[in-house]
Amino acid sequence: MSVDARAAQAVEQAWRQESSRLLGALLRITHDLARAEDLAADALTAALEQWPTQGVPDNPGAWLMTTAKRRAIDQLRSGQRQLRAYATLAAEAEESYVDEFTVDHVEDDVLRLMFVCCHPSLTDDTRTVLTLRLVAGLTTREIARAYLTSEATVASRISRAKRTLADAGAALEEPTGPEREQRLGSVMAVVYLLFNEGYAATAGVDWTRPALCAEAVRLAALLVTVAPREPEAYGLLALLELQSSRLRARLDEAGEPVLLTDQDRARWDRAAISRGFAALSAALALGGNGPHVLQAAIATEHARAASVETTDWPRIAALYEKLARATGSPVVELNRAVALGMAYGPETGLALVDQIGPALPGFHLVPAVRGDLLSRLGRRAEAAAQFDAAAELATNDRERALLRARAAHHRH
Amino acid sequence: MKFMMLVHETTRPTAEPPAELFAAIGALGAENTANGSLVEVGGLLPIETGAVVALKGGSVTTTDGPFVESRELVGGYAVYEVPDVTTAAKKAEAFLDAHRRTWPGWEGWVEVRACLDSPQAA
Repeated sequence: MSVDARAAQAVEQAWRQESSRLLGALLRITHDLARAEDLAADALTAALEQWPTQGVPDNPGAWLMTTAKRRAIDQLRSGQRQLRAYATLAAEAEESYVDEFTVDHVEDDVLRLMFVCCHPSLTDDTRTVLTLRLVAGLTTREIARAYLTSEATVASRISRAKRTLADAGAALEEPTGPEREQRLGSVMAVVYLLFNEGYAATAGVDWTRPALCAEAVRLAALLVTVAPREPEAYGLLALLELQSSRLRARLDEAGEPVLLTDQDRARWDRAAISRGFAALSAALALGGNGPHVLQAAIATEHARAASVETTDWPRIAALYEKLARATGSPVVELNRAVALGMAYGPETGLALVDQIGPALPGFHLVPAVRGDLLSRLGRRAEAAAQFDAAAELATNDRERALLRARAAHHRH
Repeated sequence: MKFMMLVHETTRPTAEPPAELFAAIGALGAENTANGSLVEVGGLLPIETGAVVALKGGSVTTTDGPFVESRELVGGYAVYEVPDVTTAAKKAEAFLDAHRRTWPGWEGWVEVRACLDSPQAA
């Protein structure tokens, strides 16, 4: 590899590792998201110019931080910027800026950045895009590729989001008490949403997008490091690691989806499972019993079972019942119906599906689950009709094809 | 390159580790997941639950208990992907420091071993 290529790779790696800390610190100092981003981008440009000729520094992250902070100080001193936030700062003694720059606020900085990206004034979609851009450090091109849209669309969505944040005066909010809990909840919801988008894409020709899943796992891990007393954050990390472990096995060689029952468990990623177990142990040690911890406990039951037959379905059904009580979600009830069907027979599952079906109008997995239970009861014609209905409602091409095939299979 | 860490325990002050230790180890795991260096991690049950398989004098034997009474037991392992042994040793130091902070009286050591990445022709 050439010196230039090696330096470029080092810059990219340092950026991926450090951009959230860098931006978080600059946001604290400048009180201005756009300014913070400009300073971070300047530091990145400086690295791209200098590292190929002067060599990669021993601590690339610290180099980026020092460079960005020095520029921020220069701008403050020269008074180039007349932003109101600076005017306030400039009234104070210069030494106090230096304190601001040197005190270690890493955890608070990154968490604040996450909170800003998940501000209540933004829609869910915008929150995920902004989190990918500012916390995960992805480029607009990478985000556009992940969401199968154009760079221009992503860029305009991001700039609209920033205007919304500026209008809401959101940049420096540090919620406390119940509001903090709520905001932590929305950060976790965004990470989960991102993972799901990668795990079962809602649109397009590919059923999964592993890169999005990997990014979500990294963000969940980052969240744990900045909120290390939150059992739900560990639960989320555990859940995502355990779900990720099945990514490879969920598609066959032709790229077609493979359901849990038919997956080759030898293809599950044992390393990811081990990391998931470790994160769940930490969640339980901290007394966690919230929705993410319960979901991770369910995923653990699957991960440690050698086959569908030897899976502890009664335990899974009991965990789903706790989860349903905690969330009140009909989707959770649908999953409980599947587990009940496996634990106590298809009739038991069917009874619950019929009960909750009306709460999930137009959701393709209701007829899909019903079809599956009917099939196990030998009611093939009824099962075929349910799979057809499910295919009609599905939005993902691969999933629709799978459901059509199951319908056809049950007509023969 | 990959490094295998084996955690040897020499002094165990209480039967069960404190919850804080799990939390501290969980936080380290998350940090090393976020920076991409943690590959795999796990705890090991006491040696009585395992077996010793030996080849001696041309015959292979399996016994259900430890052959030799050992005061040190391997309680867990982890695999890290890091550039060099210095970085790997830092991970081990952080792991032991988590014990120092949360489990007073615990003593032990971590064996840090570089893994052969690929077979090398002579």
